[in-house]
Amino acid sequence: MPKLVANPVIHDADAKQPQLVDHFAHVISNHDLTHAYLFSGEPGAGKLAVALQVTMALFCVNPHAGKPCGQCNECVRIANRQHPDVVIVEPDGASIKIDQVRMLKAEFSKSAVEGNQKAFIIDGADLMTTEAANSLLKFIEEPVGNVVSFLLTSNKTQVLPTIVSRTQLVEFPALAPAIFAKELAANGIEQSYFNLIMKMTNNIDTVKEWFENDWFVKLQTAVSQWFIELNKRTPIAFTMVQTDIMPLVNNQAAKRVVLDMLIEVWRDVLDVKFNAVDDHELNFPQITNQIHQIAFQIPKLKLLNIIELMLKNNSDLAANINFQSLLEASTLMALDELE
Amino acid sequence: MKFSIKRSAFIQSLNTVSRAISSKTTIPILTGIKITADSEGLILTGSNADISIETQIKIDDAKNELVIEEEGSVVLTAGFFVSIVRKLPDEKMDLSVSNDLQTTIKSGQSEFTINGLNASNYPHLPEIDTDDSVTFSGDIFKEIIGQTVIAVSTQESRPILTGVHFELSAGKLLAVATDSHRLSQRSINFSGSDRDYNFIIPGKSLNELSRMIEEHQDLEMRIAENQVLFIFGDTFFYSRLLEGNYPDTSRLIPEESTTQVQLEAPTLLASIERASLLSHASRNNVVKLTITPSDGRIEITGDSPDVGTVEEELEPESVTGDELEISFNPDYVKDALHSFGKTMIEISFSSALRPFTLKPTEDGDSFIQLVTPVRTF
Amino acid sequence: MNNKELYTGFKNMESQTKLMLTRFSELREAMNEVLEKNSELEIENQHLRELLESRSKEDHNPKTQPQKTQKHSESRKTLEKLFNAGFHVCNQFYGKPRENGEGCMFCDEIINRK
Repeated sequence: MPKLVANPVIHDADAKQPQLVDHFAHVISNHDLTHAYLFSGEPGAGKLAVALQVTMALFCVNPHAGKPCGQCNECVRIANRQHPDVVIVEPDGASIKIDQVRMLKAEFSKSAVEGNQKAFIIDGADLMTTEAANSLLKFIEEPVGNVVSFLLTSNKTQVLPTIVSRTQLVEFPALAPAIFAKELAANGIEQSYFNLIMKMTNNIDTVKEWFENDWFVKLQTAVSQWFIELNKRTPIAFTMVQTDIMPLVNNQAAKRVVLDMLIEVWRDVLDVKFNAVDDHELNFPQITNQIHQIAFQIPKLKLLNIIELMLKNNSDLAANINFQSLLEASTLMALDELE
Repeated sequence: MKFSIKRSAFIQSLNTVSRAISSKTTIPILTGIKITADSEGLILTGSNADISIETQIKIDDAKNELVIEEEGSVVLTAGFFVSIVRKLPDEKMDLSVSNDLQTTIKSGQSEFTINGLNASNYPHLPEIDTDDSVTFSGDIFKEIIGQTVIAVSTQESRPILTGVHFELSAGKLLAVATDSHRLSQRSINFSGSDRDYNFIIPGKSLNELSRMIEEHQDLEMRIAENQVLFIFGDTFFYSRLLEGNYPDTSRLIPEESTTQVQLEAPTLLASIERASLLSHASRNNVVKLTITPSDGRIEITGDSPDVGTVEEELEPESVTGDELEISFNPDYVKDALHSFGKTMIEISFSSALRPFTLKPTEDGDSFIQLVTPVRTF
Repeated sequence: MNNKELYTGFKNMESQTKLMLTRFSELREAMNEVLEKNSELEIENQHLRELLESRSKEDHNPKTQPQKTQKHSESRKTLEKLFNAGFHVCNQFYGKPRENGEGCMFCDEIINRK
């Protein structure tokens, strides 16, 4: 027999959305569950975990006060995505494909394999064509038999309005910083990076990608060095774009990370200048001294100019301007402001 | 788990359950075959969620040469496991599963070790009460399937019409399928159960079932809330049902007619098959039937401006009632005629726009096909 | 044209095509809705005209009552009209366009119900 371990889905749901988990436990024990929910929240906010957790509570052999035991065969199979009456669809690439929608419709019209209830979890409800979403509407709205559907989205504005109006909306709050910090620590990430990471994402999977081969650490170091050189008002900052930063930029997502870091380091300067934060709240605690130095020296107006410059980079990137030129230009302009 | 078995017996059962297994599955474990060894023998299970096939290899049947040393169960990926068993060198084979689900297959000098999956993750097939059971002759049930399944819809817009509707009541079974263009209805009397049932079996499941029933085999049908189970020989065949209410079809079949034609089904079939050679090449797939009772003749014509024309006269056994010109999709009529085999049928029309019925002249109420005409104006 | 322009050109075209595709299906959807609505309105319009006609008849000739059976067959006629215009009138597929003008026995039953 395999050793009993805590059910990872339940652990995830409890850690990320303890209030929603309690809310649903209450709804389930009062038998008030409706048949269609729209879970809306950022990636990593625990939408799938909560959907699976609620499903487990419905199928569990030994539920307790609306919560699943996590250990019975039903719970284990749902967590492993091996339960034939729990249909989970996730986008195949960038969208939910026609084949997947066809499969969903067929599943909606058939009886359950094992018992008398079925659950559907559709992740990426915004990633279906209007037609596909419309054709599912009838099944979601008026299911035959004992069926509950969870539609998950990170982009509620893109979900078909008819779907939104026919489902019960559940907003997933962004992860509480303390919970996310715990998650970061559990993944072995050094505490000095926490503030910076949390400004940039809420999704532990994204963070894990960033920390592959210490990419994030290298980039953070490069940006810090660039800032230090700017502080010295040396044109070395300009050449650093090519020598230190560009080699780390290997895809589109990386560009955004670089721009976000530039914004965050200057935000530190702004916060220090206006005494808005304590030192331990800085995004770049490693270069606290240099941040203080610049904050002390630079006139307010010039600082605001630089920050505006850094913010503008994002729209320039969207306009397909060459990324290296973009960084180099803003470095030169920042040097100009600092003169 | 540990057992040894005659390989040919094992392969035969593997082939049976493999029919249900598809590489496209909703849950990963269904790509596997579940093998359970208990005191009575081996049970093999394959499933694609829609249908599940279970078959038993009995220990007390000497032909199987089955020896079970240790009971237990495991799930093995069907694709390569079946290939391995087929290609093993010896007439006999041993299979043993260790605690970490490592499965060793030995035959002659050959030894394979493959990873098994935990059988407790495999779907649980429903246990169906023997109280809800009816027994039919397999031959007749196969006939019912063949006659009705032709009319099920292949469109997904109304999923419920992709199945055959079964109604069991007062010792009578009624099976109906329709795609709204044509309808097929067959009924038989049976004995042994006085309960009423009403359920819809997907056409695809019935096609698969029909292929598996052997001649002169009895077929036991057991009905549960969510699945129907057919038992024949050592095989258990489960199918999920379609959910929802089947539309009322009893009012669709017209009771009166104004024109009637009697003829041998194969004669008309051959003639319509010839006419459809042209209609298939045309944009609108239509064949016209002209009925002249005063001459005792009917004429089948196909006029496809873009392809050519065909004309064929038939002298049916009898033609009665009013004159009529009616056009229809020849494929629907072909399917219907095929299902009659070599029998005399009666076709009854009430107007060029209304559905017409085809039924055998003998025992006419037990089997009816209904086809809607095509408007050609 | 250099490689980069070529690349961005293609990329832009790709996104524009995608946009166009979604617009197409949206427009088709919208057109279907308009057609369905149009048929419904036509039916309703005819109903209203009939009502108006029978009212004015009643006014002129208050003794003759509009016969119920006739009214029944009138609404059948409108259903048949809608069916002949290429739409299903049955419960199963109501309002959906009939493909290739093929018959439907559910519609037939409703139009010819005794």
